[in-house]
Amino acid sequence: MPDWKDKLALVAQRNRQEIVNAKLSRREMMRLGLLTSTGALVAKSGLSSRAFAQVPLTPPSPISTPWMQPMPVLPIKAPLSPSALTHGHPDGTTLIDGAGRRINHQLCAYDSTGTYSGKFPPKKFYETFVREADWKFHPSWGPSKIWGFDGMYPGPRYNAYYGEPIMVRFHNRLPSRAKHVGFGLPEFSVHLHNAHTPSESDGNPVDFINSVNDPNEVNPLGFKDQHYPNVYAGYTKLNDLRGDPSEALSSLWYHDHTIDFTAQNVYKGMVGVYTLFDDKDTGDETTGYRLPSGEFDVPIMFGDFVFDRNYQPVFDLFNSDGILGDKFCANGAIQPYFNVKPRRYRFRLYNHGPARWYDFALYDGQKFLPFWQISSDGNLLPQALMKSKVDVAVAERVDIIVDFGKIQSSRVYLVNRLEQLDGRGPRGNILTPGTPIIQFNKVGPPVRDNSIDPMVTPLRMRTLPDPDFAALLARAERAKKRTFRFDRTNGAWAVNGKLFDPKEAIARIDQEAEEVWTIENQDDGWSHPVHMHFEEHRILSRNGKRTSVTSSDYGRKDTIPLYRREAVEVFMRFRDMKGRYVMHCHNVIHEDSGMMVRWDIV
Amino acid sequence: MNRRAFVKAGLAAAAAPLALPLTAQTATFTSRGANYFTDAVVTTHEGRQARFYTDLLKNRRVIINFVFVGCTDICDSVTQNLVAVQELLGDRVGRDIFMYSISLLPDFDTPEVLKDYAERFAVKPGWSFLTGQPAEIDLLRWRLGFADIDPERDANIFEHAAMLRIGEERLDRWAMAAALLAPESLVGTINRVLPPPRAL
Repeated sequence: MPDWKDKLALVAQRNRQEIVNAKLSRREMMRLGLLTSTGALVAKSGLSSRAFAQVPLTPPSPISTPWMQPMPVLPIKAPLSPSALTHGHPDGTTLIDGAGRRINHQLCAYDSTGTYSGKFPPKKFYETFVREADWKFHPSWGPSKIWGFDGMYPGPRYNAYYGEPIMVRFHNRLPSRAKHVGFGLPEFSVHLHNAHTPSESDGNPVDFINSVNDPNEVNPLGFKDQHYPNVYAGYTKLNDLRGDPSEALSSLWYHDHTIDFTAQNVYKGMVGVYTLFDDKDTGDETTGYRLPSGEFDVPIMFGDFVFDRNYQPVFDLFNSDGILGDKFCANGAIQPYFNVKPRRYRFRLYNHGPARWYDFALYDGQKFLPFWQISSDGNLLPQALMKSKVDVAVAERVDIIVDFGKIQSSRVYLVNRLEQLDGRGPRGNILTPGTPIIQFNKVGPPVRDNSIDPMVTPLRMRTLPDPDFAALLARAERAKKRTFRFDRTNGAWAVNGKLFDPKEAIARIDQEAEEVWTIENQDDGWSHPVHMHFEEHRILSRNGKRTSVTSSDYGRKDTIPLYRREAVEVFMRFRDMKGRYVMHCHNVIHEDSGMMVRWDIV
Repeated sequence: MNRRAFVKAGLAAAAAPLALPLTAQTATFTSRGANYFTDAVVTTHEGRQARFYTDLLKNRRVIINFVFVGCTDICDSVTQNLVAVQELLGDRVGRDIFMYSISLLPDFDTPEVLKDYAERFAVKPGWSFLTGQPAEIDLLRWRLGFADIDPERDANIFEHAAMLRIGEERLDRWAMAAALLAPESLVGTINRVLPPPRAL
């Protein structure tokens, strides 16, 4: 056995001894996620993808007793009047190209009379300060340094509405890049995943901005305005500035996307939630689809980290496979509890990565419990599906409805059942019961619940833009075809054998065109969550097999879980706007290593 | 030598992973320094000896790649590309930025061989080709992230010859770039990670 394997065995043994010394019972160990049902100790060292790779083992994170803190609920961001924004009202321009150029917004303008015009004049205005802050991941720990929107991890939740365009001002108040030591680069480009957004507000990797602490000539004040039209795709053809309501998005998120440093900055904490409503998904459980609303509509962002003994997140800068953590966070808290009332909840499950794939289930200590899946990538499905687990690859979102009124147990765990041993992706091994991440405690007497009960009334939601799948396939026949191979070449992650070059567009696509893209992974050594910006797509087939109505591929998606040796065929549209966009692997470490392409709509 | 000839000649075995010195395995990422980067003694193509961390990395801004002289297909293209990069960076190289090309086959790439190679490409000062003890160089390769967790892939040293590591040790700021990007694009990336000192 090579030396490093000996060493690994030694560390595993020491970890085991540590657990033995703590005198935990087998049940406690199961509860803590330290033992799988087969009795094997969970790999306890962090950054396990390189634990096998002849590099020093990162010591495991400090001990954190689970269920010691409530899960934070993300605060809802409040708008301001445009004149109240720091540095004054938005002037209709924005920065691109590393804050080296200032251009006009495509779809809104500001004129000399002090009014906003254009196709989608903003009706609400926000500003957020991205800054370094202390964050408590666990109540028994000291503070950790994060970079967050408004100094929070995750950042605040925006509640937006179709037909109500908004403007967000992002202030870069991060430390000076001349002084900051450690992972992360204090520049950012915020992407609203996967909104239908004009290119200059899309968070293109090259459109990062400097910090106010590193002023440049074009951007001495260190801020950028981004315009979110909140419009359904397809308004150009319909000629109504409204678009096709069946293209509605619900659970979006925003995160840094800056070139070469996305993974480091996301791991620093630069993520947040954006939820979008309309006259069907109203945010009011007495109207529209009658989905649980208000305090019963809870976005949860999942992220995994490794911490050093001073509670600072550790990022392996020399690992290009993917960083895996040994601590699981829900809304910025390690293994929190969440007190629920005995009624229905809508949980919006977000996986912000950087490299972990999840398979979520509800476990009551004896069995797995059913729940309703209502969205795929945050897009409401035609109908609710009863599930006992849902896969959520990096960047995917799934909304679920859980009826605690019907669950007998007073205590239920949200667990991750998917085993993953290195950053290259899972190998399909499903754990029982898996790692518990959230403890739900049912408390209090029954309360009013106006949301629809899918057990009683079938929950019908968004019809698909192309409900006739055969007709869609016929259109796909006529569409232009392109193939993108997500591959490893010469020690880096590549697309079609090439690494990302922001200056080279690999496709120039006519606005309003329809195309069929085949996304391939020819190797059996890794998986990639592939994300396309701009519009949702439809998965036509996976490995030659047509998508079936009951599959999780059936629906509108923006991220494709591309497993080992797979080819996925998708139907793409490029409507309403022009400019440069990207497609990339959303294992953000792969993205930074070069697994990204630029394509332009012309 | 092309890929096929290389494999045929059985040289791949020479590049197989080697056992590591124990002392080098105990560092953590939060206290990098010589514990992590190692102070392996390397020899430059000019015959000078240097400790990797203390003499070559500490308080420096660096561009690092891996190369071997017997590899003609990719390494030569990379070296040629880096010559253009060195040209574009001008007198920053050797003053503000140091370039290191570390041999993937130190047993074959002696300082003399590397010197010939550097001369063939008219490499200018500020860019050193490095060789050393195979086991130590191999460890360095892993530590700098030019490796593959799949042993079969890792044994193919051509896989490690197309990337650049760009970083500033003092700030613990590190990024990777494709060594074959157009020189202008590469310089763009380098300037992003290592901005030129402000003209006074």
